[in-house]
Amino acid sequence: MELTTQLIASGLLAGAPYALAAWGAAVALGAGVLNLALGAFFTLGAYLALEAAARGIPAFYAAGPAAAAALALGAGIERLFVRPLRPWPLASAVVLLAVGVAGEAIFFFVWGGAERSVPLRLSVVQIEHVVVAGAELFVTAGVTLGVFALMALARHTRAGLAVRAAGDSAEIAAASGVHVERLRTWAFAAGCAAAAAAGAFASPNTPVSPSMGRAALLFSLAAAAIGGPGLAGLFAASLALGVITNSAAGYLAPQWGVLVPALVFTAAAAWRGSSLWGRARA
Amino acid sequence: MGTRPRMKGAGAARLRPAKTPRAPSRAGSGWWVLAGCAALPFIAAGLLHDRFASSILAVAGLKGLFAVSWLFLAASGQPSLGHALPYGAGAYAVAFLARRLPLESSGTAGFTPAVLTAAAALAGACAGGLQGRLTRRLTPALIAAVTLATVQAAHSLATMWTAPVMRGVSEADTAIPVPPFPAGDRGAMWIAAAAMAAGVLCVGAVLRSRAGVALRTAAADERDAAALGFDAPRLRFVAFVASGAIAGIAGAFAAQFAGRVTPGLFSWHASLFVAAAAMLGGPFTVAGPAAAGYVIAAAAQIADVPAGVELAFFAAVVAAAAVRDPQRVLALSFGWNHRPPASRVPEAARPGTVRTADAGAAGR
Repeated sequence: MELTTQLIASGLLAGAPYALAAWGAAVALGAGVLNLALGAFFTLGAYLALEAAARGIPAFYAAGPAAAAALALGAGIERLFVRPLRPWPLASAVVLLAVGVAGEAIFFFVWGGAERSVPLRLSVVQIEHVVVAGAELFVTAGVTLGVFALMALARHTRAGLAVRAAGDSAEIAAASGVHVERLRTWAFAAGCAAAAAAGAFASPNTPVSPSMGRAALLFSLAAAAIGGPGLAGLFAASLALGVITNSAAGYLAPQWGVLVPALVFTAAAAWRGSSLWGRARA
Repeated sequence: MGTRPRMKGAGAARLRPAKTPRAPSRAGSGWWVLAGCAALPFIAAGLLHDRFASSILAVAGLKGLFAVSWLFLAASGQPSLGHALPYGAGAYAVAFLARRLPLESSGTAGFTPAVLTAAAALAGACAGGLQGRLTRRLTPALIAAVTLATVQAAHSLATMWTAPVMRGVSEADTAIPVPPFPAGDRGAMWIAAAAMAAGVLCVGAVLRSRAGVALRTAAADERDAAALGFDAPRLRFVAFVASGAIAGIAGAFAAQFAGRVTPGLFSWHASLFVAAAAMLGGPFTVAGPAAAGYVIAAAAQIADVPAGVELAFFAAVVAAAAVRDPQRVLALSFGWNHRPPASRVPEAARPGTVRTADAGAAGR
């Protein structure tokens, strides 16, 4: 029972950062793009967190610089590769996959292929029999606040209205004076930035390696698949998936940490078919 | 005067027959030259008794077979990026049977390798069928993503089979020994050459037959296929099964030649390899992808290229193909020399195409 409680608590805390990456996947889908490069941005955030930790700075402080770097990179990638290929979703997905693979190769040459771990430098909190790291609580609280802030922005601001309008009908939004292409560029870049921040937040809980982004990509796609386009659904799906993945990895084998998101994404896509992405919006 | 009257302007455009997917070309003199060039190293290595060259050519031949197996998927308009799943399933079926029964290659006069290879073909067909079943309602972009996810899932599953431990190989803790077949490198080389040639001939014959026409029609327009009496969803499923069976055979030979299986068989590397070989060789032909796969595998072994660099190269080739001809990337009608004009209506937005119309919905 104690182990179950511990696994559920750890799963909830581990799943929270992935909500950001899942939002990155969903926001790209809202613009009609399957962002298979998302894992590379997640890895970028994790490696920047590793560098921060090596200099004595808490890992999650790297989330800001990582997000800024990913925002610039994502905007460039969208402008160079995604926008010209927007009418062809397969072509843009294939190019983004290649970008992700190229990112893995760069990480390999810069940081090597060995798995590394990011140390947790903050104190440990014990609640009854459940032990959690203070940093994880801090990150989860931050992500939760961030999700609610994004929901408020989407619902109550003109920018949010423009994003939702562009997601519903690009033509009508353009006729209303919304610069849809610019909006899509920044939405894509914001998704990349969110994934990089997620990588920095999640880095203390997972081994850092050049190919770590593949599991994160599957996790975010799975959360987007079962959580739907809404932020609340994405957040709940990420937490649920975190608990399931953590429990499976804890009770069975660590490999289930990758296997569960892959199976969930595959099953959700097969079950819901192409309508999976039809309702997706930023 | 014996000449057909010519029409000009819009009338000519209306009467022009609709563009249909091109059939794979019949083997012309150029392909016989290519076949001769491909056979030359095998003959030279056989005459010179060079074990190094023989082992390289054995692997290259298998990679050629693996590459050509993907063409059924390209012909049916299913851009799978998870073809490593049936390849690895075939290899692991060999390992599983060899350890459970247990079978040995010696003492049964070659019967055991045949049984193992048949079982691998069945396993590959099942894995391909699973992918076909999972992706039957998906758009091309989602087919690529889901098939890629199945490979990652299979890799994780394979790493859980940890006994027995083999030392001295990559991924040592998860390598499973397999009875080696055949005994020498020269035998392996000739078997691989025969398998690749048989694969090219079989796939070419199927793609030029009525079944091939049906596959291409199903890929181009589901309603046209239905009007012609073809069951497009069933054809697409059969394409996954057939390509999986051939990939399973390639995986079985790869496992038996190497004497082991490792989780690395289920990799993005192998999945992107077939797509890159098809794009480089030209999926419009059948011998082209096989030749490209053969050359890439041989060159990578001779130059000892790291797997990461190979993966980046494969991804770059596929990305270049996507940029060059985005409408037909990973399809049988892809061409490096063709680029649609910018004003052309994308396939995803064209009415009447069921699968591509879904792609349009996905792109909303």
